[in-house]
Amino acid sequence: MRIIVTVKQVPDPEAPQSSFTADRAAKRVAVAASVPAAVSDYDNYAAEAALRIKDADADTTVSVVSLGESHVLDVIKRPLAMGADDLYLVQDPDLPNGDPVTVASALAAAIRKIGDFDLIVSGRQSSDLDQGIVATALAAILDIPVLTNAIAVDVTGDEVQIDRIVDDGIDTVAARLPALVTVSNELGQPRYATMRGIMAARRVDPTVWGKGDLEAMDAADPFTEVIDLFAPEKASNVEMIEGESPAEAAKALAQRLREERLI
Amino acid sequence: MAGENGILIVAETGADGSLGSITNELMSAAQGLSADLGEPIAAALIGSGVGDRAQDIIDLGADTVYLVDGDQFASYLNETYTPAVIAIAQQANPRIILIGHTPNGRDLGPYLAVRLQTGIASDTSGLSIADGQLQAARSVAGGLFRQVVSFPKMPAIATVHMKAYDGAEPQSGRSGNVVNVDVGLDASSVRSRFVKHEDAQVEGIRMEDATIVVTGGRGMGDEAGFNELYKLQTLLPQSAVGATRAATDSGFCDQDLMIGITGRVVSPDVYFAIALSGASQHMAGCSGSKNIVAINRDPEANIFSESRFGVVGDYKQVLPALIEEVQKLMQG
Repeated sequence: MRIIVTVKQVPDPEAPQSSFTADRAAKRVAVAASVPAAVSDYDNYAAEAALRIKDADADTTVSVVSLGESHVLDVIKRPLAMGADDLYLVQDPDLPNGDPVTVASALAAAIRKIGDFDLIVSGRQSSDLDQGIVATALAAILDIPVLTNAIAVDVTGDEVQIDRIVDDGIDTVAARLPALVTVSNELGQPRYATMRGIMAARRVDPTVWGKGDLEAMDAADPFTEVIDLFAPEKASNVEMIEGESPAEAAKALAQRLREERLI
Repeated sequence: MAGENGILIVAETGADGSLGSITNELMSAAQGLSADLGEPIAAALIGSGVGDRAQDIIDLGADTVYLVDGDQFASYLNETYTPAVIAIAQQANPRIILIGHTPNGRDLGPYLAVRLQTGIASDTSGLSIADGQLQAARSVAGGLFRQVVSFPKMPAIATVHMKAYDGAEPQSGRSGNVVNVDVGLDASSVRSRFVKHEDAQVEGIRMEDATIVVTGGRGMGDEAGFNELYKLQTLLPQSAVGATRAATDSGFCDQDLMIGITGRVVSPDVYFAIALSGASQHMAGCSGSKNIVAINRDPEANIFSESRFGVVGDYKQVLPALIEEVQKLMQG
């Protein structure tokens, strides 16, 4: 079977908070040049889910598609170093921070160009914008069923079945292939890249497409517009409780909480 | 379509058929917008045997409830609920659609937006009206920044952050209309199926219902350290234990305890934040707490700037003394 994994390159979210500032004129987050690129966290879990299916069925091709700007090959090849087979890069500097449905339509155009597939696996949301819209919108544009927030993914015959976390427990749902699944971190730790995998990934030449190579990539008529982006003001009014020793401070804290009728 | 009018909220019911608290919160958000626009509030109620809930939603402030009731809708499935909301939206013709940013709402919203050929903003926590149209504010980069989104097309769709709004209080006996909607869903077009639901094993009360939450982070060190939190929690009524993602990923406790942008969202009266730094991804799950009480050995930890009370110190020294004193106070 053919699985497509969507991967987003993001600024490393573990970078110090001071490396991120609000560029109010451009209405986007400005990132210091020192911040390394990373694969958006949940997309590593998406790659893991796809590779587990490949583990069980060797006759599986896992293709990675990433849409963005300034891809860092060593970073975006991480899913290949984990075991994925090939890589498609769609380069458009205007899209990644744009309207998510427009982003999804560009991804849909790329996936149609890649060709037939059985399953698309995506992370539940990106670690920079946290929207969680693109993957589900992609399924809608491709007119395939979507199952979201998976903590376990299984393919049997022509059906994919997942467990998903809902408010009051766990739902099990299934969909006929082709389908799209989004994955959450409860799936379990993504595998490490092996040395052999890293070497194999180096030899993969990505297929690179630009704006002109795909249809339906015009972002001129977006469905949403970001009209402001700013750092919220935080007024701290913390009351620090001190004492001769940590134990004394703890005692004072308990008494203070009682005074305020909080315990 | 032209002539869009009013706000449509998508109600949620639990496995037991009761209205989810997100419904009250959406209604509260809708009431603010409705007052600014001078336009009515409608609600979409979808399920099997949920007709009795319609009056509950009217009591919460809906002028009209659009009811889709049938076996096909007994459990949430994107492929059945999306056409149900579309059928309702075609009748209600709303200016704005509000959906909870819950597991099912997150699943529904983007698919619906594509089908309606309109825009969506997710996990919004500040909704307002400018020039007669919706503007939605949301957090990005785990809460470091706020983004304001506008919608060139109607209906504007927003999923609303859980606990971003205090729930609307019901006024019993309000009057409103109930409209039955026939989705006309062709079963053969549905390519997915619901298999089963398993209830979460909850010991004690649900974390979201607790008035006190005791949360530990990476600094708890290990599972044994984390378990010390229960000694404090068991002394406090209506309380629950939570964890940061760093703590759950380190295996200190069950994943189910995770609070944060991808975990649970809580807003208790008192939130004990112990040995956790206050990363923005975590704060997104607890910033609605009325009083945060931080214990951290790093005086520079971000959590102190978010807290009402703070103690600088190693939890291994602070927590036992706190437990001892709380025990005395509770007995006294």
